[in-house]
Amino acid sequence: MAEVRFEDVKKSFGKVTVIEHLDLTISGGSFVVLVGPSGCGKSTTLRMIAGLEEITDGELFIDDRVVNDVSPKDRDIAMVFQSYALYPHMTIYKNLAFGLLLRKTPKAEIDKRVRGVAEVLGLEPFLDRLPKQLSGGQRQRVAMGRAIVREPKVFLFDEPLSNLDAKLRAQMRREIAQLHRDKGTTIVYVTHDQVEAMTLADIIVVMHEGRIMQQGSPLHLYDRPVNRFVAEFIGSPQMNIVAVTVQNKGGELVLAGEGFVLAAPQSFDVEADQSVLVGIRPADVRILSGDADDAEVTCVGEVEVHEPMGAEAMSTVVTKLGTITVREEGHGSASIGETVRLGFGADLVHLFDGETEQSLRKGSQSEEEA
Amino acid sequence: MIGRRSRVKSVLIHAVLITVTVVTLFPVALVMRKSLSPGNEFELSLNPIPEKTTISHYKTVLSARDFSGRWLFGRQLWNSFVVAVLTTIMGVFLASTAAYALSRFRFPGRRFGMMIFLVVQMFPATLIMIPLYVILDRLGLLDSVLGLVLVYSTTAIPFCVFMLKGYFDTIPRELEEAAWIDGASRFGMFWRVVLPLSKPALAVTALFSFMTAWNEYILAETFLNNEASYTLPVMLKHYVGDKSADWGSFAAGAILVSLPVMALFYMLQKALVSGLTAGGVKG
Repeated sequence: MAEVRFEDVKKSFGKVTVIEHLDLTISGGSFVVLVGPSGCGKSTTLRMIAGLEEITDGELFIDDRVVNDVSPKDRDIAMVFQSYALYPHMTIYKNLAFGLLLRKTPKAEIDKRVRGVAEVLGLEPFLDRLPKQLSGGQRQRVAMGRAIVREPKVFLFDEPLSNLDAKLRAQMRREIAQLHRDKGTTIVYVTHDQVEAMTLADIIVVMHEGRIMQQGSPLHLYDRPVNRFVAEFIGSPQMNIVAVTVQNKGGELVLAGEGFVLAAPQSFDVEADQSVLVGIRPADVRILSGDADDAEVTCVGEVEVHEPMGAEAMSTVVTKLGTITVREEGHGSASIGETVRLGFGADLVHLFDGETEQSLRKGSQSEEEA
Repeated sequence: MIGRRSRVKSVLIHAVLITVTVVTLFPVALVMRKSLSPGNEFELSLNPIPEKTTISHYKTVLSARDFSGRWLFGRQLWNSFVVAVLTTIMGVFLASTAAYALSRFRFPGRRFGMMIFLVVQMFPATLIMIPLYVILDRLGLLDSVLGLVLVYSTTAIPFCVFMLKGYFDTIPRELEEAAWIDGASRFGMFWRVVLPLSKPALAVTALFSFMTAWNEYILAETFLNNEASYTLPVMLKHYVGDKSADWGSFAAGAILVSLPVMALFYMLQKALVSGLTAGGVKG
């Protein structure tokens, strides 16, 4: 149950600084997923834990031991690479045994552990084959097996599923979750796929341009994003964002834009004339039926795209302030070309400052600082 | 129609290939003929079939002895073999380690060093013959196998370094990173991962080093003065002197000298073909 801790870590490649200032504690036994768009520094962070990248400044701890200058081979970590990085000239058995062999594990012990892992991962029939004779999914398992067999303190995964098809990916996702439940080893997992992040993580760390935007449990990030970036990154389909202005109408604050009006929710700090971004998840937008009260209508638009998928239906509605995606249960009520009235539940929207793009939710500033 | 055209095409292609093969092999056939024909003169006939055959030239070459009765061919074959094998070992060892450093590390002078390797390739070895002679003389390595090995290695290494560096560059770094995390040292990554994956390139490098040493004549002739320390190419040349020329023995010797290289080519054929195309198609 090893803890991994970054204290004021900086990473530069030559003159380019990739990570300015990283403070992050990954508690022992947790499953932490680093997400973000490409170039956000998530892979670099992982490679620093592995020891494959030097740390420019600051300190990295694994279990209260500073490992800045400890070689990867002495960190007792295991890593699964995106490309699997299996040794092409070795059989699957040797691939699995390699790490144990280098650590001078007794032969009988190696054999026992390799066969044990092969059994768990269903690799027994392939032990005498070379990696090139295996399919992508099987290679992926070998890469996992090679990490598991060493029984390291920390598992590192670098986008391990991105080369698999959707079905295999879902299956491997379940197996990785199972692995974590069984072993309880600390896992740090990098992905740009927010579905993987949501389903696997205890804690998600959202990164952007070398900085941590927010960290927390998947549902906390979904419900309480601290800024526009996290709001748009977490959740699929993406959250709708509309730019409006706060207006004082007879003592009541309302969010108003061209053809858009919504009473300002109480749970956010806003003031008159402030420009704000209204965010709402597609599932939280309602298409109002004909007999609904006009007071419920937030905006009006024309249905441009309607995608029924059976259990749910996605509609893209063009309004004067931009397109709004709506997710309806079942077959959906909209049809293409139809003009619809949309209602935003005031307690379901997220408000962000128009300039800083930070959440305006009461108390969110203190949370961010904590 | 198409079948007929492709047939014409096939005939044409084969005609060209056969012609080129004949042109290439004809001189070899003439040497073969001479080695089997009696007499010391090199006849100007173009007929590659000997009129009378004899193996006396082979006997002469194989049984040559010096004044003190030592078996010359055996000694010279041994010299050539030792020089070629040591050159190969030294060449491949130094070239692979140098190429690995050039491929994987970034250090001051890296680009300059590679350029120097390339520039050195542009000069013929004869150009540095005199400085080499002086150096070997000072080191007391004239007339010795070790001296020749040093000289041959230095001439073979630049090419080998380039060949191997190009190959190492195509091996994904992640394999070494995986080995590193698995517990390998830097040397372990090189020895257990990179080298086994570079077998084709190593085969080419080894063959090139071996042939450089096996076939070289001018430097060997310059540095070796004692008949007993000659390598085979020097021995060969001495059958054809200023005053007398024994072309029969020369031809027989030439055939004998080329046999080991041919055997080596044959053995490494498979590795060579994949070695020369490797890097072009990755994976």
